[in-house]
Parts: sequence; structure tokens; C-alpha cells
Amino acid sequence: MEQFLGGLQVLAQWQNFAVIPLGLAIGIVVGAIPGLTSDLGLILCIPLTYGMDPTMAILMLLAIYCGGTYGGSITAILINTPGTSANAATLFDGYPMTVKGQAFKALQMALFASTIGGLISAVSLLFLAPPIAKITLLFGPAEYFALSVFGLSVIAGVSNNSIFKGLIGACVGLFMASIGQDSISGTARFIFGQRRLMAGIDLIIALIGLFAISEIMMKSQYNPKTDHKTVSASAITKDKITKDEYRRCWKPIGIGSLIGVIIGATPGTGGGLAAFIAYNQVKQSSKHPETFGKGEIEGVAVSESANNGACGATMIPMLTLGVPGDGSTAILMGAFMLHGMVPGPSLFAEQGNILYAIMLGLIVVNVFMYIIGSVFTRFYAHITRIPYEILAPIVLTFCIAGSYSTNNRVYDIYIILIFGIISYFLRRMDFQLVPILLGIVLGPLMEKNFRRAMVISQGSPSIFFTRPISCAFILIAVVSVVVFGIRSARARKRAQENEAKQA
Amino acid sequence: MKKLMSLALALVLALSLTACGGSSSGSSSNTPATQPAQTTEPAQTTTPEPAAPASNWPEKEITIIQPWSLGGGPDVITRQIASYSDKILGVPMIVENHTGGSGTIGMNDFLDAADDGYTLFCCNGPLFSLTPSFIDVDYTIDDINPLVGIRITEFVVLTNAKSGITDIQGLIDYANAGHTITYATTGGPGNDSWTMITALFKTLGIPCEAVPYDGGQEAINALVGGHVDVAAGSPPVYRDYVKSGELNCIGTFIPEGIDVDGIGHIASFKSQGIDVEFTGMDYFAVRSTVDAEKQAILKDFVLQVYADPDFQKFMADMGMAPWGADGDEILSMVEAQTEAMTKYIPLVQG
Repeated sequence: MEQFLGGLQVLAQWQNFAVIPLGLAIGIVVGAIPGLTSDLGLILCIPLTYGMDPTMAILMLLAIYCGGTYGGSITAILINTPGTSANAATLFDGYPMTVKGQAFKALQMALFASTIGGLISAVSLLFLAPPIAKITLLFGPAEYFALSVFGLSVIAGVSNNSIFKGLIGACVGLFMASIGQDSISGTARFIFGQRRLMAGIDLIIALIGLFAISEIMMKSQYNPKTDHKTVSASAITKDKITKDEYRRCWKPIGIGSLIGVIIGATPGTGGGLAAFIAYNQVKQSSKHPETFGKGEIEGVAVSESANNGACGATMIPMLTLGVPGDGSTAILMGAFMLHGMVPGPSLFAEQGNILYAIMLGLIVVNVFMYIIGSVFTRFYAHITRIPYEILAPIVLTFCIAGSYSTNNRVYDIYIILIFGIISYFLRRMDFQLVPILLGIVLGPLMEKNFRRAMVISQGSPSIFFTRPISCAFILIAVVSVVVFGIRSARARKRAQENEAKQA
Repeated sequence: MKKLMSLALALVLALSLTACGGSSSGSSSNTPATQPAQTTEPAQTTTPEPAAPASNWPEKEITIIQPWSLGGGPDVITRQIASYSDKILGVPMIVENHTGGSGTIGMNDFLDAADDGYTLFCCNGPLFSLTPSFIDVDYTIDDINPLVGIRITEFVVLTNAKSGITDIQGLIDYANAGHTITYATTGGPGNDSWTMITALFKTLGIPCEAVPYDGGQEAINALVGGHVDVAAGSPPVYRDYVKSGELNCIGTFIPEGIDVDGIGHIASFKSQGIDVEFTGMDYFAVRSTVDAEKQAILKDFVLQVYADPDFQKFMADMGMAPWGADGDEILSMVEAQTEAMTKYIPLVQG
């Protein structure tokens, strides 16, 4: 309590409140450009914080992180390319809403859900950090492997009835994830004699290639004369979220935030996985699962609340155990150290006041995000009015600049082009991209921990079933696949009956 | 009219993005695009500082290639050092992480860069003494010149207190009772902690299996969570857990043993009669063809940082001390380590 009050005191300085909007604005813009992620925004801005006092510096960086995770939804909704990997699940319903002319509504819901998710996450960080940290320590290799199996089971729900293609897609993704040096034995895999492939393929590079480049290629059939729909400026912001829709979205937002917090607190996972798992849960428990993937506002609500719900929670293992929850928190951890705070078990005892100021500040960050986001939303919604022939070169330029800036090398630009071409053909053959992405995201987590578990158990797979948490995850995965199978079989039967009736 | 409007919108979008890029890169100078403008400006007018060095080198930003990941020990120290560059050298210093391939990707990028002194490398011993035995490399120690030391890595071998193992004899007894020891390392084969703990157990003749993790913190957490029997760690990651009694130190590879604040003396394996020793080191290096005068300026800069009380406090908080060794000392240490490794490598590969 004493530290809590001390934290309030440290926080209550105008400078702290001045850097938050700045950080948010940078985060939202960086997040909204495909290829530029909040990671990059953080790296660029760390030097700016050298002169600041620790609370101010960390709050500005946190604002970039949260703003970036929300900002990534803007491009996911508007141009079918997630700004960061955390926003990939927003594609399912966000872009279809834009196609239906409801872009403004989708953007508003993304902001609202992100804010609520972020707030819940900040509050759990504030009150539950130590107990949650204790639980994450129980996660050994077997548990991580089971968690990634559970993550992959989401494929069943997101493959749009072609589970076979979904599985092939996941295998393609897992293959892509295996490129580079194997972290357990050090063997180089699938590098085709290319030294630079030793490090593997960066997630963000794969993301730009898979989504953005192929999206532009998919539009090659686009005819500016006939395909561009002119929309008047006033019509865009007219379609607002109704009271009924807000009411409908409370449950998805609640589930999303909760799953976001749990997954976020598990080191090495992050907002992307949280969003997929939450999306799948909401879709399965929905009374109208058939509307998901076709522009369902609840779909946007759940994915955005989940990825921002992970934002504060990823800080839990970082602050208490010194293990970053995802890539951005790894950078944040570096920033903490630069400002003389070494994350780990003793940080709360040594720097309690500053930490409480930062955790309370995270709540302020989320409130500010809603205000600033509302301004941006109005502006961004008009992007849908830009004819594609003008938008495409701009997007392409940003993609190339973004992929170059990730590692400062031209090599990555070739990689996005290769990924783009592969992805284009897969999409022409009706493959979904999301299972591929899940494979890429979960591949390393799954493989590493499977092999670690095998070493520990001396080659016996029983380790996955004798440990309770691991066994529970595997059971949930099996049950959710079976439930999905039964449901889709029923839906097919119903559709056949309807056809028979009509005939 | 509509077309004009949409064009204007597109322009505004593009402008807002470039404006943002400008605002963040302007002060950090992290984007290569802004650099030519900087270098063409006359140096005399832009550096009006009183304590201008005799030589007007460096004139543009300096890049440190960091082969290890962001937020790790060497990265954090390097970034802290780089933050002094604006003040002391009058030019910004940028840290770029070129990770992967056990550090060889960064090393190759560094050797591909021009030898004009504007590129530094955050180097270590194992890149020469160990890695070449596990990965095909096309560099040798002659390609680089160690400039100045950064830190000494003091690996300690730890066990979980719940296991009841407090010393090396306890570990041997545990293994003799029919257990295979599982140990968490900070990286895969070719990594220093992997090699040294493996060498330790092979020397003792204990059945063992390595469980490679990504970095020291992950390895320690695996031990704290009870997922492995043994882990290797270096400060500051294990300190708190040893102080709180959750982990036991059973020895260090540093031949003289080490004294850790709040823990006391940790005996070396050598003093316990086991013939394994290792002293890890991080240091800055430049390409061996870089002008000697430039090397001296860079070395002097790093030593000035080490003399700064704030920097010393920063290192002390991390449980380390700046290591100001000069190039010759580092070279002879790397040579000695390479020699020592010829003993361990057949042992761990066999």
C-alpha cells in the first residue's frame, strides 16, 4: 500500500502525462504501417528516452507498445494486412466489414475493445503480478508444447470448412519456421547455402510477404474504371456502433481480455496467439458461428481485446522473472535495464515506487489511447476512399521500407517478394493464410519445447500426459477439435436438408 | 474533384507517416536516409563544443554491430556505453542487432563493413575458441583487432535447493543413484555454457543430457521451476534466487573462484579438484586494418565511459564491473582459451 501511494506520487507529474500522448501517436502510426511494428518504434525511440527519468521513459515506451498493438488493427481492417503479428486475427472480420462499407464501425470497435482489454490487463498487472508469475514458473517444456498444440488446434476453427487445406497450410508454416539454425543441435536447415538464412526468417518479414505483397498481387485483376466504388466523405463516419452491438460485444471482449491476460503472462507467446485462441473460443461458443469470418463485429471485438489484453500481461513475467513475454517486451526489458532497473524477483522490493508509478501509468496510457485513437479513427476511415491504384504503390513502398528497416539489409526485401509470390499462388488455390501464420508463430515454440521435453523425459512421450497442466491443454485441444467436427458435420447436414427441401 | 480529394488524402497519409519517421529519426539518427545530409555539412560549424578533440575524426555516426539479442547482458551494456557517444565524441553511436548463427552472422556483417573505423563489433572469446569447431566459418582472429574489454562472464553452476544437492559431491551421488542429470544451458552446441557444463560432467563421468534454452534468464527459470536438475548462470540472473535460498551454487568455472555481493565466495571447480576452467569475456573489436589513430580514439572513448561514476553504478547494479583490458591482453586470453578448448571440444563431441 505504501508503495502504491508512493507510485501515485511519482506518477503525478505533468511530464509523465505529456510523453504518453506522444508515445501513443508514434505507436499508432508505426503500428498502422505494414512492416513497421511497435518493436521498431521502440528501438527508434529508446535513444530519445536517455535523458528522461525512468518513469517518464518507460511510460513513453509503453505508450508506443500499446499504441502499436492497437494501431496494427487499422491496416488489418482497411487493407487486409495486419500491421503487426498480434493483429492477424483481426483480419477475419475486420476486412469483410470494410468490404461491406462498415470500416468506421470496425475501427471504432477495434479501439473500444483494445482499450477495455488494455485496461483489464493493466489492472491484472497491478494486482496479480506476483501470483501469476509463480504459476508461469510451473510451465516447463511439456506445458509449452501442449500449449502450442492447443494453439494449433485453432486451425480447425479458422480454416473455413476446408480443414484439409488448413492442415496443409499449417505444415507450410511449420516448414517456414524450421528454416535456419536449429536451436537445439545447431544444425543448419533449409538454408540452400545462404549464410543469411542461418538466423531464420523474421516473423515480420514473413508477415509482410504473406499478407501485404500477396494482397497487392491479388488485386492485379482490379480495374480502376469499374471496380472503384466512390463513397462520400459523410457516409463513411455515419455508420456508428449501435447500443445493441455494444451490448452484444461485452461477452467477446470479456473472454478476449481474460485469455489475453493469461496467454500474455505466459512467456514466449504474445498477443497474436492470444487473439487466435480467444477468437476461436468466442466463435465456438457463439449462437451464430456462421456469421464469423463474414464481417461479424464480435470477431473484431474479441481479437482486439485479446491482443491488447496481452499488452500489460506480457510485463508480468518480465518484471517478476526477467523473462520477456514477447518481442516488444524484450526491448522494453532492455530499456528497463538502461534506466538502472534490472527485472527479476527483487525489482519490486528495490524499485517499488517507480514500478507502481509505471503500472498505474499503464492505466492512464489506455485511457489516453481511447481519446487519441478516436481522433485517428476518423482520419483513417477515409483511407478506404483512396482508389486502389493510388493506395497500392504507397503500401508497397512502406512494405519494402519496413522490411529493409527490420535488419537494415536488402536481403529481406527479396524474402518478402519470394513469400509474396508463394502466398499469391496459395491464395489462388483457396488456401487460408492464417493457418500458415499460426505454423510460423508456433513452430519454434513447439519444436524447441518438444525436444527439450524429450531430453528431460529421456524420450518418453508420457511426459505430456502425466503432467497435469500439459495434459489439460492437450485434452482441451482434442475436445475443441472434436466439437468443431461435430458442429460442422451438423451444419453440412442441415444445409443438405435445406437444399433437398428447396428441390 | 473526387479524384483530387482522394489524391490529397493519399498525400496527407504519406506526409503524416514521413513526418513521424522524421521526428523519431531526426534525434536518434537511426535511419540511413538522413545520414548523407549530415556528413556533407561542414564539420567546423556544427561542432562548436569547447573540448573539441585534436583530430576531427569521427565525423559521422558510429555503428556497433551486436551479434546477441536485444535486451541481453552484452546488449544492455553496449547500449549504455553508446549513449555517451553524443557527449564525448560528438557523434551518435548506433547499436544494430545482427543476431543468429551463434554470433557468426553479426561477425560476417561486421567483416563485410568498411574498415574506416565507423563500425565496431561486440565480440567474445568463444567466437574464435569454440564456434569454429561447430559451425563452418571463414574468419580468423587475424581479421579483427580487440580494442578494449567490456566484461568478464563468470559462469556459475547451480542446483535447485529442493533437490537437496549443495555441492559437487551431492551431484555425483545423485547421478550414482541411477539418475541422468539434465542441465539447462544458455544456448545450443558451440555455446560457451553448453560446452563447459558438458565438459564438467564428462570429466566427472556422470551421465548427463543438455537442455538448451535461449539465454541465461530462461535457463535459470527452468531450474527455479524444477524442470531441470542443473543450470548455468552469470550475474545478475541467479543472484536473487541464491540469496533467497531457492538455488544453490555448486561452483564456478573461473579458476580463482569469485566473490559475489550478498552471496560470498563461490569456489572454483579447479579448487575442488576438477580440471575444467573457463573465463568468458566480451570486448569491442574493429577490423584489423583500421587506422591505429582511430582505434586509439575509440578505445579512449570507452575508457572515459568506464571512468564515469554513473556508468560504474549502472554496472554495479547489474552485478558486474567494467573490464578495461587492452587489446594485447584480450588477444592472449583468446589464444589461451582456444588452446584450452582443444582439450574440451573432443570431450564434449565424443
